Amino acid sequence: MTDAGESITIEVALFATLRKYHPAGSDKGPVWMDVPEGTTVGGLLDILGIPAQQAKMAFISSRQGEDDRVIRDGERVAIFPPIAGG
Amino acid sequence: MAKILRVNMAQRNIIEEEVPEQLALLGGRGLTSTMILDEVPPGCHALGPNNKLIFAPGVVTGSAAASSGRISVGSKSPLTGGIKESNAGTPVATMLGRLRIKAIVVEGDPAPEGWWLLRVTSDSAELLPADDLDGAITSKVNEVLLERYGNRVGIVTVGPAGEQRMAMAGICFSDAEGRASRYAGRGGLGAVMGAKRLKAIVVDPQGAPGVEIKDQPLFRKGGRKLLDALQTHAVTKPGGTLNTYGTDALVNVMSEAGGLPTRNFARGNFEGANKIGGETLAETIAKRGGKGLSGHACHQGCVIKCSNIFPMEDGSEHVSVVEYESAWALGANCEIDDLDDVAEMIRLCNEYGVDTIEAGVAIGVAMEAGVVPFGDGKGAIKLLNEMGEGTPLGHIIGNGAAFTGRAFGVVRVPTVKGQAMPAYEPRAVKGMGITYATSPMGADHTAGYTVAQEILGIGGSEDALAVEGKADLSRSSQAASAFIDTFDYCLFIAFAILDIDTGLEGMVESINGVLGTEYTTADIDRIGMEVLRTERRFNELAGFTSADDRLPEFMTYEPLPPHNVVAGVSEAELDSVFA
Repeated sequence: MTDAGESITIEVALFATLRKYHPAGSDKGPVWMDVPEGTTVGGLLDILGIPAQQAKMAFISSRQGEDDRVIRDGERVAIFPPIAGG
Repeated sequence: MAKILRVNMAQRNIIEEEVPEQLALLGGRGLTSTMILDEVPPGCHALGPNNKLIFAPGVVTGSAAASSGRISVGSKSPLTGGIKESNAGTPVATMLGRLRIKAIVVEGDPAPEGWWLLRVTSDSAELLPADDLDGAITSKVNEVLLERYGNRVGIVTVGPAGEQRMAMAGICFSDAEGRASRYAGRGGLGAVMGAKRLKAIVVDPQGAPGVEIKDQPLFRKGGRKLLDALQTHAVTKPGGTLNTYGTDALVNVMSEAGGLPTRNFARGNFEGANKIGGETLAETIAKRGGKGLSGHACHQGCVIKCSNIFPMEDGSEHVSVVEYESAWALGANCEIDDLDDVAEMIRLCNEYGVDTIEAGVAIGVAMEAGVVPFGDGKGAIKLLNEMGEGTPLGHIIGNGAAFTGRAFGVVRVPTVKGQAMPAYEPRAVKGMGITYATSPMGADHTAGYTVAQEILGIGGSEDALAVEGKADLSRSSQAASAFIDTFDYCLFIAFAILDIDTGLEGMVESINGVLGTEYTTADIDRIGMEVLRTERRFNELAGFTSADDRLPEFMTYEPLPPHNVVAGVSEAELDSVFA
């Protein structure tokens, strides 16, 4: 177990109109970044500066995740704006 | 007065009929399916003398109703052996609507030689010899006919695959600029047109009286409400995600969700997803410039504009349109991640006249058999060319995924009722699996798009991996789709009206404005279910049973990575959908 206040490393992938919120220098694709342990999907949006209403879907290691889902060390988080098609 | 054109290919005559009362309120899919059940013996051979091919614009098609330029084509399918409705977005639809042609029924047993062209104007319809178009690819047909009849006509045609009666042949409609690119692709309807020896239809809209509107104020009021919804919703509005990235934006979504069928449905995510997804597509179009265009409209009057024109590296036009299903089928499903190779494959499908979904899945099955390796774009292109050339191998693949699987002894064949599955893994998106299994059309995503709720969070939010409640969701989605396909709005209006109630009301008010009816939103399910019952009745008479409402066996025992789940929907649950 890690102590409270430590950080974890996660992979973040932003798509479509959200790509502009990738941390500087990684605007093209997924990036590994450190976030405080216990960070939720909603918390990650805050860290990245993504307005909550712009983020519609999050998949954490392929599973749908709500805003209160806590992200674990090593997980991949993919975030999308509203998208549909056929 | 609206009319039905009955084109007899045996006698080569055309009869104009009044619309019988029981069909007066129908259009699109509701009309084609009702007429097919009434007029086509369910046991007939789909390519034989007793099958018919029916073209029908929707009830509101041709009016000012937003995004309503769609046409339904109905027949008995040579691919599934059941009833088929496949629809396309095209100016041809609006032209027929404005000409007040409720349906064109192509019937009879043609002479075994020669090709024919049907020319329809505001005051005439005639069959003309078309032997000069024998073997022509679709772009050539459009080039010749636009030159001959002027740039304003709409064109319907089949390519070499339809002429050769391949079961994956589609029917090609011209787009807003006359390109041969808009397809009623599914179910092999191009083979039926080929069997009728009808190479093309030319529609001249000059002098068209326009759609009759019974209650103009109501029609306008409803139209405004629907338009507001489309222009407000984040997905459908100008500059929204459909307009900016096209449907191809779904590649990354589905791959991240673990539901993008990859390597002939062996896994649910694709390493190369981003290379063929909507973001890279839009970026490539912008970077190459020239003839490239995102936000292209398939017909005038579309608000959403989700089509595109994909350019070559030098900016010249390569193909329209790179959309999600095509990029997935010919890309991820074959493990091909080169967007230019994918674009070339789509171009070849358009030119030879085949369904991109069936083509991609059949090639995936051939890859599974080792005919060419997975990931081999050039090898896949060669297989498509074999189809165009009509070689024996081309005929095997051209007859679809199920036929290809049988020819090569492949067990893992992703089809239902003989029709290839589209771009959503049924093991990872349970409601879609139920739709694939139970739709009278065979595996078809547009038949009941539960992905909206299960993945996209539109019209509600459901766990994609949960089975509970999905039979109901699939049934109501299938009914809603049958309703929208009957009035022939673009199915994509659903994204806006699932979330915005006034848009839904606006759609129904627009319909009431045209027909003079008093439908409410509560009638949507009832009318949609009537259409579905008609279709299921035809299939039942053609010999289908509940055993045909099943997913392929391998999906019931082979866990799908990354979720490592099997299909997991019981036969009782599948049978409950239409019980």
